[in-house]
Amino acid sequence: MTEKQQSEPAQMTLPTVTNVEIYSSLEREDLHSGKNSMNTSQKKSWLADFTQEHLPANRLRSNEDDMSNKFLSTSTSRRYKKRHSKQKIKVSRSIHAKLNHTQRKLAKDLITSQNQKYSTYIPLRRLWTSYIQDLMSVDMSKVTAPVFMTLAQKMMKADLHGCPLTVRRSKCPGYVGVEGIVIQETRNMFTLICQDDKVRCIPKANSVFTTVLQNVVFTIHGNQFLVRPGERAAKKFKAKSTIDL
Amino acid sequence: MAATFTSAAFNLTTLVQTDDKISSAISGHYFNNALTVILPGTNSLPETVSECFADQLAYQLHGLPVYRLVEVPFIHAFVKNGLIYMLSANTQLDTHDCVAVTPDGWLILHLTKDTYHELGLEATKQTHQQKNSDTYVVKVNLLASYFKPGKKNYDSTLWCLKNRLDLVFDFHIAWEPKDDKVCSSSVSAYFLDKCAKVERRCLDRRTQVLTSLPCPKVQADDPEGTSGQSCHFQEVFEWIGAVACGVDMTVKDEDTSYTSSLCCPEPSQNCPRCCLFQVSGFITPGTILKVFKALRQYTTAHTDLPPASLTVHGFQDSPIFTNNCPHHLHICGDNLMTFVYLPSNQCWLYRAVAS
Repeated sequence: MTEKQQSEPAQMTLPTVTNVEIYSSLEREDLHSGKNSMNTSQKKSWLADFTQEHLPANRLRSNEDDMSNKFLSTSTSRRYKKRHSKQKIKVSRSIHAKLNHTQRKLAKDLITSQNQKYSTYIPLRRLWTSYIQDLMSVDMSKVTAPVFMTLAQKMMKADLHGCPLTVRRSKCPGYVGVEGIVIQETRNMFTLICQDDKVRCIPKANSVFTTVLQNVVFTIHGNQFLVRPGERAAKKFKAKSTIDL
Repeated sequence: MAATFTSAAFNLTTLVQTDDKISSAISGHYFNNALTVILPGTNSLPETVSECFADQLAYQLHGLPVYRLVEVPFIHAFVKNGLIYMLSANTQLDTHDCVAVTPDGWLILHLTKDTYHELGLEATKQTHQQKNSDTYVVKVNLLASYFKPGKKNYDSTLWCLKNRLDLVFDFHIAWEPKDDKVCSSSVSAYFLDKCAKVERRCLDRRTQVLTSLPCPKVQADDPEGTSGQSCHFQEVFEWIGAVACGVDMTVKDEDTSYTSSLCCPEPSQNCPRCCLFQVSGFITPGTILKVFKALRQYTTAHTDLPPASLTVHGFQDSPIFTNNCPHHLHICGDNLMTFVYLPSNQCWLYRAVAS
């Protein structure tokens, strides 16, 4: 390949090409006049597609001329302060669509779909119960107080999808008493499906959740649990000063 | 008066009242703990006044769960057909949960933070004092047309009170039926099987006769005491309180007396005998209205005597003060009203609320 390319420029009486290896992956037509035959608009659209595919999203910010965060603002209204504090990343719409399309579609289907039934998630709950019993590796009916600490540690790292959770206490009285199976857990929310086939999103903050496993009750303080489930496995939970809501 | 007046937590009004205002003031003050009557010039309480307490029926229920107050039979039988007064007993307003049922059909739960977070019923907007002390007030309208089984509101309220927490209280209860033929003891019969114990709450009476008591001169048209012929109304109020507490006011010179520096305000007249009558228990506003009228008849019959007074004390731990106004503990939970009977059918009303 390299010989060919070395000979090509020589034949076309062009200056010698350095760093020839980087061109090795290009097609022959790319080097040739194939691309030169495109007009400006075609070239622009080709370039746009190329950059979208290969460049990371934050390189494509178009508001680099905005110098407002380099100067102190004298406007005291809260609205402007809020706007300036969050740097608005003006990414083109196509980027949004491309990146989040699949993610959003899945989430939307999960929550707003009309045909979610509680009965479809009962096998999931059973699966979770067997998973958690394997994880605990202790016979629940004979567990005593000294073992609670290790069980709690294991529960902290466990995956809660399929867990039958109850909101025991909450700052908002509307969430108190809600119980259902966890179908989605994110950094701040639990999505539960209740027995009347309603899908409810409960924020983790300012709530206390409980789940019962045979005759052991696990209590989850939502305020301390504001971590993504994937990161929770690796996170070290520190002892907080208060468990007050 | 030599003693200083701490006006920080004190709300005082003195007006020449009309009959409607008086009766609305009395009937708005639902939960009354004690009554004090000071009658200068007599040895004992007149018959007409002590008759008023004869048919007073108040009970104490032990261990009644709160969800019983939301049940349909209770609402139909007692809340709709009369005036029901219920207050939780042995609960302190700042540390425990308090419950009250008022005659205009509100169930009021004054809850601590932990109870409120677990219960699941929505509370009314917190006042500044409630925010400071972390208490929440849940009001349930028992007489609303939408409050019946089958409706979401009723079902969720009943479920929360029944299943979420075991809220069990002792209650003072009294009921005045609309219909005269029904006896007010039927409320005790209703609760016999629903709570641990029902006992009759009797009134504790105490009569004292004071001799040669200096009484202040009061003139109806001169409350400030500017003319020199009568005393300032605040001093009169303090004198009433001092007499009720049994303070010795015979020593005129404030410097020599060690125990108290209170003395009768000038100008004063000496009264040879005075009757001090105190009754405590759970007293309904209906009884108090009868007592008020009886005393008024008595004072109009005997106009030459110094002014008589009637003081109504409310409960320290009641979650409402009057007409559903929320009550808190500021320094103490005192809330009381005093009526001073003046000649020519006039009356002064004082109100003191420490909240």
